Amino acid sequence: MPNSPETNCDALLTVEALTVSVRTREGTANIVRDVSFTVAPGDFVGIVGESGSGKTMTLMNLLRLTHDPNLTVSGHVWFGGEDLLTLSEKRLQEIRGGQIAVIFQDAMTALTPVYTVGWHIAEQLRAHQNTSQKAAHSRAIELLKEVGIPAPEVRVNAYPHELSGGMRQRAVIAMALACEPSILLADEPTTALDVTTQAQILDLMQQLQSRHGSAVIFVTHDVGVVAQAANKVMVMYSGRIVEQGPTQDVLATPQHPYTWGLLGSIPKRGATRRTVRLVSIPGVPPSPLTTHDGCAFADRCAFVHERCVEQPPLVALAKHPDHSDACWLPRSDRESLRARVLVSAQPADPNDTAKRDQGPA
Amino acid sequence: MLANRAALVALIILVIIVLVSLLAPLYASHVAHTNPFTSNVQGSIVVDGKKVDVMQQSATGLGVTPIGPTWHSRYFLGADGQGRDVMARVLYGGRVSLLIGSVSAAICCFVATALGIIAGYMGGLVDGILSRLFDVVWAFPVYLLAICLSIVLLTSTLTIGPISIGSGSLALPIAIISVIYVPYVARPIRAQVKSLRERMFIQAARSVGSSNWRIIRRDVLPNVLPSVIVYFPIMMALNILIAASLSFLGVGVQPPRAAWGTIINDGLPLLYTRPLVSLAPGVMIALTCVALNLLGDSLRDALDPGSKVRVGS
Amino acid sequence: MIGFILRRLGSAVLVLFTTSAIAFLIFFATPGIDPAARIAGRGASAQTLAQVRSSFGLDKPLPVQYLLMMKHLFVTRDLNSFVNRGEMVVPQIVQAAPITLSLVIGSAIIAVASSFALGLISALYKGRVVDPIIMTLAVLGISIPVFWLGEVANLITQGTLHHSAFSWVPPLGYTPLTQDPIQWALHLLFPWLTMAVMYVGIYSRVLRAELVAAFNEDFVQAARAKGITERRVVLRHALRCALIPVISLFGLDLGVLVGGAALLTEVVFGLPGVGFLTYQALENVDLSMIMGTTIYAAFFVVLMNALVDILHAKLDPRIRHA
Repeated sequence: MPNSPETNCDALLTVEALTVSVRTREGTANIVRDVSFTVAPGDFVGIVGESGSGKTMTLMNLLRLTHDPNLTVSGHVWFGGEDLLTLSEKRLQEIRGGQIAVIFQDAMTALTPVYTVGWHIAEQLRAHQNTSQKAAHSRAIELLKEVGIPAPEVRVNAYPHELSGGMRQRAVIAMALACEPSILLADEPTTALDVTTQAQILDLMQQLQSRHGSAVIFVTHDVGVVAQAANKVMVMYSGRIVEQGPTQDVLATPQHPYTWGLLGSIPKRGATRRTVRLVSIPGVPPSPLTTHDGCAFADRCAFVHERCVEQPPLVALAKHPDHSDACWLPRSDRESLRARVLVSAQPADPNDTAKRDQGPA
Repeated sequence: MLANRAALVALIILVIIVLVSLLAPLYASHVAHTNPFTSNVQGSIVVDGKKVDVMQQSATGLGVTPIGPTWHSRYFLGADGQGRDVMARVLYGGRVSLLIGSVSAAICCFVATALGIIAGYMGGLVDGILSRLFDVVWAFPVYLLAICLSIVLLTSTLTIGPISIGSGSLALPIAIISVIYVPYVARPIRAQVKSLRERMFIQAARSVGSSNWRIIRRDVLPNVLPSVIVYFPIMMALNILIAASLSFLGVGVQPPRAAWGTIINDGLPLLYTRPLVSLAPGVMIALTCVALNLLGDSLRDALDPGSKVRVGS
Repeated sequence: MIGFILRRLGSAVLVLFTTSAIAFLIFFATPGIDPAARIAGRGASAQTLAQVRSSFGLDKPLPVQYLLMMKHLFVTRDLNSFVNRGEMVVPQIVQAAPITLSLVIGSAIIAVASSFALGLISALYKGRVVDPIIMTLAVLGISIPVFWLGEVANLITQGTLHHSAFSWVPPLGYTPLTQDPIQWALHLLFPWLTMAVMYVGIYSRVLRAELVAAFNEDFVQAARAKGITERRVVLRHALRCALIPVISLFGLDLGVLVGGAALLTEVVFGLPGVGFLTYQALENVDLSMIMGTTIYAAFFVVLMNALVDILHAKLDPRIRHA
């Protein structure tokens, strides 16, 4: 086993060249390609991308959670000097839920329907701590109280289907926090909720993060959520990171045309509580089955040129070494091109978009 | 890939079984040179140049034993207790068993689809009544239902309006078997229609002002049909098994007709001396039902991957 | 939960009433058939016919006849078999019941245990070699007629091999558990196995399908993310949830199990249970007996159905609160 990397000694988690591919009937699909990033303690990392961009697969394979014989995972995930991808199942079990916990998208399907909320939290506690059933139960009540569930001593005995969506998600967060993990992986934890509850859950996660000091890796398709909560952002497209950096840098001076498209969906810059689906980019993402040598976004990019048949590397900005992107466009042209896109992509009537988005809530 | 190959093998087996059953009269007259419905206790045949009685003195000297398998054109599988050619009877039995299986499966699927759609589409009181009815039929020990019906109708003719069912008629076992499994198909169809109804395109069709019949025909039926197609082979297998069991109890197909079940029954007194008489039709039943079930499985995978069709009972 | 149990038992009573009414109507109200002649049997004297008429109140309206029948069966329990020279029906059924119960319970235990093992193995090794082998055997299991399989078992254990490999198998028949437990089990072993084959075929397939579906559920991945053992993920989460539909199907199948498979198995193996009684009555055209066994069997099935439903609700909180 190679030694842990000497770079980023303060990093909590270092992902190197993570690649995930699935063998299907039609051929091999590359779902995640060569993804590398680091997470420091206290980081709140947002991974943004359309559905199918590989963001959830990246997250789930950090802990090898997808059990599929057709799945191949390569690369390294360094955590505490160990590579999670080559770790024994037994050691991995100690880390799962204990040091790295996961919050799933839909709490309704993530909780086993036949057990009470309290049972779930107690199971999480007892998986890593030697506590009695009774002590686990009272700890579960405390945790439910901490995540803001009213009357926790009653709700602890409720089944998942007896709670509202927001309550369920709070309970799942309580479960994830039970063993005080140093990293929380959250897979679109607010997507299944209505707008008001989304905001509450996001606030809760931020509060808890600052209180417990754990790092959060947060997957979302919602740039608004990232803008509100994350200090680092990674934009994924077709299994690759196309742009990453500190949130304010990426939002203020986005470099990649795909990121421009994402941001173009937001009616007003600076508005933090906007939750808008990514609808402004024409076309659809390529199928993970296609093997393209060049830039995957080329087909949908307004600025495609002959260089794009080659895969662009992630290159950092000269002035901001934390901020990098993968595009062949000359740096000097980016400012003017971006200005063009972001102006023309403004919706005719922002109120119209607002109405449409609040519709289903 | 594997499932496709299994389905292909199943289909080939089925086609062969159906073909040879259909060709039974040709086999009886041209190959076996026998009438499989009349007893032939006195007859004898020539095997390997020697003359052999169809019914032979048994080794113990008590009674007679029918001839065993000759593996020749005449009495290929031997004779049954009345000196009849077992091979020819098995082929003829296939016609009856396949007929009962397919007709009752068709009736069952038709009735179940109609009732399932009515219950699921109308909802309310109609749904309540029909669902209760499914419960009752399902809870009723079905073999006992068949026995009750058969014993009452054993010697007399049931006349309901223009339909009259005699005790020897195939219509009786077909009718009984068709009814038994209606709830089995109707329940999932009802659930499917119910959820379909909630879906948008039917709401939209209704708002345009289509009649209920039109909505059922244009929107509901095409969506339900794949499940019905999946159920058909599975129901056919079940029905062949039930028909055989009823024949075993003496309340299914009546003589002189032969079905696989009755041939097994005929062979039971000879089980320890001439086991092939009972074994051959049983193997045919098993082969047919395996092929039908495999076919149903692959149809489900192809047409209706979401559904969980259950096979058995 | 109490409310659920009461509601479920209420609907059981309703189903029981409907079922017994159907059985009753088949016997007493089939057009063109004289129930008295049927009950009295072939070639009965005029005196017997008159006795039947008065005993069953055949001159009275149908609802009264129905009530009289139920009284004979459940209250006074003095239903006579006219074919069998006035032999009482109910005591015979009561005597035969333990044999049928021995058969059904034993084979149910074997069937449940084996289908769990096979379904679990098949689902865990989905896509490997064992999975299609087990599933092909399961299809074979549901495709073989029970009575034929029983006869084949007899052929093997009671035929020529009876003097060598299977000399330990007792001749067909039954020994009560209280008399000799070992002989009881030996007599029932092949009937149990024969009857279990079909149900193993059904439930291993259902369980596999449910487990495979459960493995794709978020909650299994979520359970894995908690850091519990894979064994616990499979047993306490996936299997626990896959169990629910299997249990409810089992409840539905009880009617077929008791009324069909058990009857056939008893006949094939010469076990003098309720099914065998029914079979004999069928051969003698003994309507009273068939009426008795049918309604008692229906009673049993409906009761067991209700119990399975209550168990189902106990396993699934979503049903309980619905």
